[in-house]
Formats: sequence, structure tokens, C-alpha cells
Amino acid sequence: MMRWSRPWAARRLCLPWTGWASSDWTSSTNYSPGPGLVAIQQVNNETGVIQPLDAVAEQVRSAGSLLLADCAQGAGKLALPDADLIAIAAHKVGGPPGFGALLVRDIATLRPSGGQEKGYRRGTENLPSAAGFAAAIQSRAFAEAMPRLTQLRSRLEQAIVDNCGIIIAAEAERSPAIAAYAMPGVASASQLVQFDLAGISVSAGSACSSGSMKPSRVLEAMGLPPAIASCAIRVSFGPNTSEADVERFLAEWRRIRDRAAARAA
Amino acid sequence: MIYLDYQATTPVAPEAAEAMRPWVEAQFANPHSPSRWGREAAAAIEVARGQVERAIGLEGGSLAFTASATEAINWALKGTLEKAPQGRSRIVTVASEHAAVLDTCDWLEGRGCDVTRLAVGRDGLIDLADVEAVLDDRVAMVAVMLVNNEIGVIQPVGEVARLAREAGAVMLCDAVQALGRVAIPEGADLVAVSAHKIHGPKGIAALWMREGAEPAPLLHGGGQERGLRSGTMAPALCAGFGAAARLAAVRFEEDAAHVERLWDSALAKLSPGWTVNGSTERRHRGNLSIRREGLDAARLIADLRDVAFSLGSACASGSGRPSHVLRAIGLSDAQARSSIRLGFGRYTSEEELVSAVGRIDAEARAQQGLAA
Repeated sequence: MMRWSRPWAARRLCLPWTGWASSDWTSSTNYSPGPGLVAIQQVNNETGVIQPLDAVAEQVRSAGSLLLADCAQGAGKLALPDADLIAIAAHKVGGPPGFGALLVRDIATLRPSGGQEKGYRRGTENLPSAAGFAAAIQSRAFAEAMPRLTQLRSRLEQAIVDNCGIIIAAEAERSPAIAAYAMPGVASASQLVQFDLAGISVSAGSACSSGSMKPSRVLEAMGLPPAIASCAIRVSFGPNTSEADVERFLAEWRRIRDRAAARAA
Repeated sequence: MIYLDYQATTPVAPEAAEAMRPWVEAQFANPHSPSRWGREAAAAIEVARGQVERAIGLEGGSLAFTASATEAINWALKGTLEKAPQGRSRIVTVASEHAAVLDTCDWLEGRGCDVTRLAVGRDGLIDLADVEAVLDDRVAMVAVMLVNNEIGVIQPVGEVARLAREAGAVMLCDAVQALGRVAIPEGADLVAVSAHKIHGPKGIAALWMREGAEPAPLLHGGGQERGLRSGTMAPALCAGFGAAARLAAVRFEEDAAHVERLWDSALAKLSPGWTVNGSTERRHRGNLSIRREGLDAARLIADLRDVAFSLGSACASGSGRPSHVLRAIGLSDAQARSSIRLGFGRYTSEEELVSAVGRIDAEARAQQGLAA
């Protein structure tokens, strides 16, 4: 067994279930002295919760550490945070799957190893996908849709609440492109099948784990009661999402809820 | 423009582009989503997987898609060494391997592995006795490429794999240049292949793994590809790779016959004074690496802007370093700098090849003050 280990240590911080506020971060930053790498997602991929990364960045910097932000869900939609390293993905903003990028504030942060990408990433470059990514970002289609989606979603959420649904992390600042809703008493898997039959594509947790039907790690980390977490689905939007789409989703939501209520009665 | 750089990359087959189109345009769903659109995309990936597996033609294993052959090779080497039993921390490879293998071995060497780099003869081939001599129970992995990317020579991978198995080592074969051109022999445990070398798209490759020889993951995350390779998969790229692989399998004989004709025509067009680098017999003949005493190859490339060919490999072409492969076969720096690589294949016409070789020959002679 080979070991590449250095004396690295990793720490995971816990999230409160309402999302996260910068005060929570401040109280959690009693990590040991010495520079390190702090890795935080800008927009959570299951709940849409936006972490207060600009406030975090200041503290990380004053501790002499580096901030890596996973901005796969935020790039091209929201302003990028003040981080040292930012990871982004093409297919979350209308570009092709199979392509991503690492934005580096100071290239000297990384050690080059030779090869392509000025010696920082080996392998023949995928030009068509690079061009697709660039065009998708430049179109600003997602960025420009955000104000409209914010309004559309607040109407949807009012209706969800009026129909006994629960908005996960309702109080937290959230991206208008992603939200998680629980329909108490109806298992996520059952909702997924019914929405899918109605031609509506939503998911439970992230796509990677959606097939597995395991409880979401994110909702679990937020301390969400299992009875709620097991009934949550993720609903996400983009520039092509119309008011009619949202109406259809709501109508289906009511139908699923009514069917469940009838069965329970 | 005449394209003679098939070892750098190949033109995308129209069939591959067509297979990609629906997944680039309307069918965008995440293949790991449980919705029906997601399942359609996942099914398309499985079709492509079968097509690439069949083109590789080995039994008893399966493949995982990666973003590049470089990634597949990094994964194979690092992930196998990570899993290797106590006491096995040596890699046996060859001095003329691709940089993806050699530089990864250098990296592993810096982390406590031993690396043995076997020499090759002037024909570019390893001596099996050398392999046998260095194999023992300290060797975790043997990495030998099937077709060399700079000089096209074919290593005796089947025999090496047999020796590696007897020694209890895992055998990695870089078959990037071989797929669709040279049958991949039985015996390797891990095989790296790439789409864009067989008329598929860039940005997708694969690692074939014998059952039980799967390396520890290199990429961690969403747990795609049975937990072995995380990252959202790209249905369009997979479909393009699958279509290209299917075509490569179907056209195997036809493509090989075409390449033989092209090789003969190109050689016939060269005037005396050129020497072929490496074996001409044990060779994929879509690779014509040649040198000419006193030739300034870089200047030749600059003077013939409408013919695309290269010095050594495309990766090294920009660097100005003399090719490590040409040095490994015993060429001096001057001889390496007077070498060019012509690569051709399925979509090269005999007419354009002969025309380009004629111009290369004339320009080289003119450069040396000889009448064209």
C-alpha cells in the first residue's frame, strides 16, 4: 500500500438547518493556527443556500489561509465570491457536460507539473466544449433570468406554503435557481415517480445520488428531522423555465398531495 | 491544407458528429438524474460503453469513461500503486512511453515508488529478456504502450503481459494510438484508450479494467461509474466515442488496407537520403517518422504552412525539447531535430498524401541546396 500522506488534517463544520449565517461561521472558526485550505460551496446544489463567502474570505485571509469556492451552481448566475480558487462547471449554465474550469487568483498558488494549460493541467484540450462553455457564459442567459426567476419562485413558494409544503432553509439567502421543498407524508421517491409520469423532471437530492434513494447528506447535515428530509425534492430553474411550467408543477404538486391525503383517509 | 498529423488527433467521423448531435442539442438531461430524460441519457452512455468495449475486444472486464487518456493513465498508475500489496512499490515501464506515463511515474518516484525505465533498441522495441530480468515480487505495475505515438512501433504487449502476470504485477497498456488500428492482445489488466485518436471527440477517453484490477479512484465526488470515477458524465462525448469505436471496429480491415497503400505511396515518393525512424515491420504504418541528415525540421514545418505535420509529438512540438523517444532509439540531438512525423489514415487520400510528401521532399532538398 502506497501512501501519499503528508501531515494533513481535515475538519468538517456543521450546518444549522436554516442554512447558514456569517455569525455561525465566526463562532466556528476556532480552527488550529497555521495556513490551510478552506473549501466551501457558494451555492448548495440541493437547497440553493448561499454561503456568506465574502465574509468568510476575509477571515480566511487574515488567518493566512486560502479559500476554495465550489461555484458550480453559482457561476454565470450570481456574482463570484472573493475566493483564491473557484471551481466552475459548463453544464450548469447551458454549456456542455464534461467540461469545467478552475479560476485561480494567483497562479503561483499552484505548482505546475508540465504539459498543456501552461503546465497546469495535462491532456489534450477539448476545444469544442471550451467554446461552448465560453458562449454559454457570454450569453448571460442565466444571469439575466435571475430577477425574473426570483419573482416566479416567490409566487411558487407562497403557493407551496399555502398547500402545506415546507420550504427547506426558507429563511436563508438562496439562489433563485435551486430550492428544496418537502411535502410532509409523501416520500421523495413517490413524488419523483409521480412528477416523472406527469412529464416533470425534478430530483431528490443531487442527481449523483438521486438514483440511490439514500437520505440526502446535505439535509442530514442541516439537522433536518428525517420525517421532513425523506419527503423533500429539489426543484431547479433556468432561463427556459416559464410561468406555465411553474403552474403545471403546482397543479401536479396539489394532485400528488390530494392523492396521498385520499389514501391516508 | 493537407492534414498529416493523425497521431496528434484525427478528424471527427461524420457518424460520430451525428451521434453526438441530439445530446448536444435537445437531450441535455443529467444522465444521473432519475427522470425519464436522465434515464435516456444514461442508456445512451451504456450503448456507447458497449461499443467501445467491443472495439477494445477484450473479455473479462469493463470500462469507465474519463475526460482524457492522460486522466485514465494517471488513474491507472496512481490508483494501482495506492492499492498495491505491501512490498510492491516498483513500476516497470519503457523510456519511450508517452509523457502521461513517464511524468506520472516521475511523480510517483517523488513519493517513494521505484521506477525502472527499460531501454529500447534502434528499432524502438523492447527486449523481452530485459523485461524478464527486472520482474520480481517487488513490482506492482508494468506499463507498456502498444503503438508508440511518435514512431508507431508496436511493442510485444501480449508477451509482456504474460510475464507481468507470472510476476504478480498489474499490466497497464496505453493503447491510445492502437485502438482501431492494431488488435489489442489478450493479457493486459488495464487499457487506456482515447476518442479523439479514433475520429471521435476530444475530452473523452476510457480505462478498460479487468475484473478485480480496478484501481483506487483518482477522482472523488458523486460516485459515478460505480464509484470508480466521479463527475457528471457527458452523454454527447460518450455517444461520439461509441460511434467512432463502432466504426473503427467495423472498418478495421478496410482502414488497415488503406493505410498500407498510403505508406507505400509515401515511401515511393521520397527521394534517397531519408531514413525511417524505428522498425518498419513491427509498426502501425499510419505513422511515418523520418529523418534526413542535416535537415532543419522546424524550418521545414514553418516553410510548409499548408501541410500539417509535426516534429515529435504534438505536446512536445511547442516546447523545443528534442523528442525523448527519438533519443531513446539512439538518435543524436541533431538527428532528432532533423526528424519529422507524418501521420495519416482513414480520411487521407492517396493523392493529397503524395502531393504533400512531394513538396516536403522538394523543400527539404532545396533547404540543403539540392535541386528540387
